[in-house]
Amino acid sequence: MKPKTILKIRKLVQFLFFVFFLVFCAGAVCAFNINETGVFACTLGALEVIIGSGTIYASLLITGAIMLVLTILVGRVFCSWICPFGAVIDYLELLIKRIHLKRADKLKANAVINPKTKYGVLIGTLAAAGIAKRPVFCAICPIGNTCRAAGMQGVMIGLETLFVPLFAGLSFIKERFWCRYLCPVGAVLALTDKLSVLRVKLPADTCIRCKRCENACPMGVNPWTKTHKRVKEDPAVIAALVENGTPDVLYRPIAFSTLPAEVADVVTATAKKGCKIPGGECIRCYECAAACPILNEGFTEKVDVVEEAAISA
Amino acid sequence: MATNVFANTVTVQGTIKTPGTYKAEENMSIITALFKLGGGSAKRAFKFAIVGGATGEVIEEYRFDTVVNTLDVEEPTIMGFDIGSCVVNTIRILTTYNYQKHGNVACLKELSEALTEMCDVDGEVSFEQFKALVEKAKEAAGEENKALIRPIVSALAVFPDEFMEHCDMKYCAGSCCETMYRTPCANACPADVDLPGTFALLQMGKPIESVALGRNDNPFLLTCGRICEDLPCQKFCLRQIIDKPVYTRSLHKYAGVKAAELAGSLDAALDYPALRPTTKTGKRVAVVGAGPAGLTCAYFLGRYGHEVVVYEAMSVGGGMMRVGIPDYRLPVELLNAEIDHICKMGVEIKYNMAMGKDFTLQQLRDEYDAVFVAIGAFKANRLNLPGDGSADIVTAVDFLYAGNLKREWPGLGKSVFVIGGGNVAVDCARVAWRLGADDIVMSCREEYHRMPATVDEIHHTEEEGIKIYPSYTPLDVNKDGDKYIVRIQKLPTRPEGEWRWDDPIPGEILEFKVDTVIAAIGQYADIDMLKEQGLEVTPRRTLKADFHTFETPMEGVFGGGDCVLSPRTAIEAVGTGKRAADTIHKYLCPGAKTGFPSMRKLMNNYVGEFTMKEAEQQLSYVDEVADRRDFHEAEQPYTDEQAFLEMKRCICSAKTGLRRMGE
Repeated sequence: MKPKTILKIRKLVQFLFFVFFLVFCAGAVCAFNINETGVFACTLGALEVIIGSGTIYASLLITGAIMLVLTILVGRVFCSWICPFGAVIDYLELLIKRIHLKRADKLKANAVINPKTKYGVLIGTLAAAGIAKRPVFCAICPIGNTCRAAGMQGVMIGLETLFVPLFAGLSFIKERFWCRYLCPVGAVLALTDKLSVLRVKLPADTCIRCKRCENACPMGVNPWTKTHKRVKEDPAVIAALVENGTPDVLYRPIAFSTLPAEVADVVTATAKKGCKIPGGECIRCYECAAACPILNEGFTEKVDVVEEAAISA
Repeated sequence: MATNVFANTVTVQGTIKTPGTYKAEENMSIITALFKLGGGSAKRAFKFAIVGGATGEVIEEYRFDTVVNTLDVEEPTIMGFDIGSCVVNTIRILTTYNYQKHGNVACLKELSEALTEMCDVDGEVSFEQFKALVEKAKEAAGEENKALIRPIVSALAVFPDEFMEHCDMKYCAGSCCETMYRTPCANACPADVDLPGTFALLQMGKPIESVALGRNDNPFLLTCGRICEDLPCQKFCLRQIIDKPVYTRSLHKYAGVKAAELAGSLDAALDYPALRPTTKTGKRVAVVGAGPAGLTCAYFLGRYGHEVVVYEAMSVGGGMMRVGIPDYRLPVELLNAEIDHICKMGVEIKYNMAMGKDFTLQQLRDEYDAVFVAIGAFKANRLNLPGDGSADIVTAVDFLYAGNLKREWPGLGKSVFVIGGGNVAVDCARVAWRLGADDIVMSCREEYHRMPATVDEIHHTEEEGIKIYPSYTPLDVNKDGDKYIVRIQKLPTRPEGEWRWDDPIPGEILEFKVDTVIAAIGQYADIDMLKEQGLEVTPRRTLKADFHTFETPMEGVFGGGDCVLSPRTAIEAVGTGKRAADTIHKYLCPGAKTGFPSMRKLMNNYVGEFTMKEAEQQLSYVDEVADRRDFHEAEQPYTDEQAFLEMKRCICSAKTGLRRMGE
C-alpha cells in the first residue's frame, strides 16, 4: 500500500474515533469523576487512580493495559490515530498552515523546550495523584476533556472544557506543542514505544535527499537525520568509505547504484538496522512517508536500466 | 626519510573513472596517477588529492605535477577529489576514521569533535579556536604520531579559506555539509537565487511571483536566464541521483516570458511586489561601472535606503552583458527593462562618465560616503605574432562593441579568422556571420573537448557553418594586399590533466587567406587607470580586494566584478555585487542588519510536485539555421508542456525547513 493511502486511512480513522468519542460515547469513555473510580480509564488515568487510592482495581488494569499492548504491537499509534485531542490539534493545524504563521525553527528538535519535559510532567502528575489521593491531572487533561466535552459533564461543568482550546492553542508556537513537550499520556506511551515491534521505515538506497520527510514530521523527529545521517556516520560505513578512497561520496548527488560495491554492501547492511525511525517520539502518523516521492512514485533509475540491458544483450 | 612506499604498486581511488591498484611508474607525478592510471575525473575537474591514504597529505590541483616519491607518506594510495568535494567534510571523515582506528592519540578526539561542529550549522567552533587546537595536536602528536594529523595540518595550510568559511560564515562551497544550506543549487549559485522556490511558484501557476522571488536575490534573473553559462546550480543538482540535472536556465527564461504575458508588459511583471526603499539613510554611494556587479550592488544599496549614483563610461548600461553578449543571445529590451527596474530603487545612472577622464576617484571619495569600483575587464589581450599583419588584428572587445551596438564593422569582408576558443571567440564568430561574413574559421590551442566555450555554444556555432580548428597555435599573420594570410600549426594532443603545451608538430601548418583577423584571447581590467587613481592592483592584473568582503586597501573604496575576479561569468559578478552591497551597508551603518526577508511566504506552504520522468528535451528549440542570420533571439523558450515536465523534475522544489535563507 502506498503511504499516501495509509495517511488517508489514518485521517479517516482519526475522524471516526473523534466522532465516536465526542458524539457517540459523549463522555462515556473517559467518565472521569474526581471523587470516583471509573470503570474505564487510559493508562495514565489507571496509574493515577491506583497510586491515588492505593488499591489495585482489576478493571482499570485491563483497560489501562489495552493502550500499552497496542503500543508495543504497532507503536505509538494512539496519539495520531485515536486520540481525540490529537484530532483537534490536527484540525487546528490546517488553519495555522493556511495563515502561514512563522513558528520556531522546524529542524531543531528542542527549539522551544526540551521534548523530555513531558517525562517531568508525567512524574509531576503521578506525584500529584499520590499527594492529593485523587487523579488531579485528569481534571485538566485536554484529552479527557475533549472526550467529555459533548457529554453531560462537559455541558454541566463547562469550565473544564476550556483546557482544550488552551492547550490546543500552544500549536501556534510549534506544531503539536502539547504532544511533543507536555503530554504525560504521550510520555507513558513514548516509554512503551521504545519496545515497539513495528517501526516506520524510510528507503535507504533510493533516497534522493529531498528531505520532504524532515519537513513533514509534526513531532520534530527529523526522520531523515535520524535514519540516513546515522547510517552515514556509522563507524563501519566510515571505515568502508575511507578504505575505498571515497570518504565523502555519500554526501554527493550520486545514485546509490553507482557507489563502489564494497561501500554499497556496508551501507545496505547498516541501513537494515539504521533506516527505521527510532521509537519514542514517532507517533506513526505517516506524514513523512506520505511526503516521500520515492515511496509514492517508485524509484526507477534510468542509468541502471540501460546498463543492465547492455549486460543481458 | 622512510623507504619509498611507491616503489611497487600504487592504489588510485576517489572520483575517478577507473579506480584500482596499478604498477607504479618511476618518478610518477599525481597527474600520471590520476589521469593515466585512473582515467581522469569521473565528472568534474579535480580540486585536490590526498596522497597516502587516511594519513596522507592534501595536495592542491595546481601542484598535481608533484612527484609522489618526494612525499613522506606511509601508504601507496592516491585519492582524487573533484570540485564537488568539501575539504572540511573529507578531513572530518578521515579524522574520525583515524580516531576509531588508533584511539585518542594526538588530540584526535577533540579534533574530530571540532570538525563535526564545523560541519554543522549550530557548531560554535571559531577559526582561531580550531587553529589553536591544531597547534595543540601538533605538539601532542610529536614525531611518532605526526602522520595521524597530517591530513588536517596539510589541508589547513592549503585551504585555510574553506576552514574559515565553515567556522565563521557557515558556508560550505562544496554543498556537502547538509545543515548549512537549504538546497545545493541555491548554495552553489553565487547570487543565492532560491531556484527551487522559483520552480515551485511556477508549478503553482504564478510566474510573476516566481520572477519576483528570484529577483529578490538577483536583479538580473531574467538576463541570467538567457546568458548564464557553466551553471553552478546544475553541477550540484540533486536530480543527478536519478538522471540529469534540471535545466534551470531555460525555466527562468520561461518564467520571464510567462510573467510578461500575464502582467501585460515586461516592466509591469518586473515591478510586481513594487519594492521601494522604505527608510532613507541619508548616505550617498558612488558606483563606478554599470555592469552586472555595479548595478547589482546599486540595486541592493538602493533597497537598503542609500542614495546611489552609478557612473558609466559608455552610453549604454549593462557593461559586458550589453557589449560582449550579442543581441541574439540577450535581447536589449530585456536587459534595459531590468536596468530600468533597478533605477526605480533610487538609483541614478550617469552615462558617458569615465573614471580618470571625466572625474577622479578622489572626487568621488570627497563627495560620497563610499565608492564601489566595478569597471569590468574591458582591455583585450593583444596577440603579438610575427608578421606585418599582426598590428591589424582586431581585438574581440572592439569587434563586439561595434558589432553589437552599431551592427557594422567596416571592412569585415567575406572571410574572417577568429583566434581563441572561449565563449567570446564563439560570439565574435557568430556576430561576424550575422554581419555578412560567410567563410569563418576559428582556431584555438585547446583540444576540441577541452575548449573553454560551452558545449551548446560550440554546437550552435558549428550549425551556423563556422569551421573550428582545435589544437592549432597561430604562427604569424602577414599582409597580402587587402587580405591577410594566417598560418596556424598543429599542436600535439596533450595527455589528460596536463595543461602545458609541447612544441607544435613541425610541418603541419595550415594557411588561410582572410579579410579580417579577430583575436579573442582574454581581457583584463584597465589597471593603468586604477593605478593612476591610487588603487592597488595585483600581479594578475586585477584590482586588489578581499574576496569575502570586497574591501580594497583604500578606506571606503570597495571593488567587485570582473576587475577583481578576472573575467568570469555574469552571475559571479552579480554575486560579488550583492555581497559587496552588504559590506558597504555595514560600513555605512555599523551594526545594521543585512539581507532582505525572503519572499517564500508567496508559496504558502506549497509542497512541490515531483515526477520521476526523464525530460525529453533538455535544450530549448532553436530556429532553423537559415532564419538566424539577424540579431533576433535564436533560442526559443519552452512550451508549457516541456516547462511543466522540467519544473516537476526538481527534487528540492518547495523544500522548507530552511536554515540559511530564512523562512
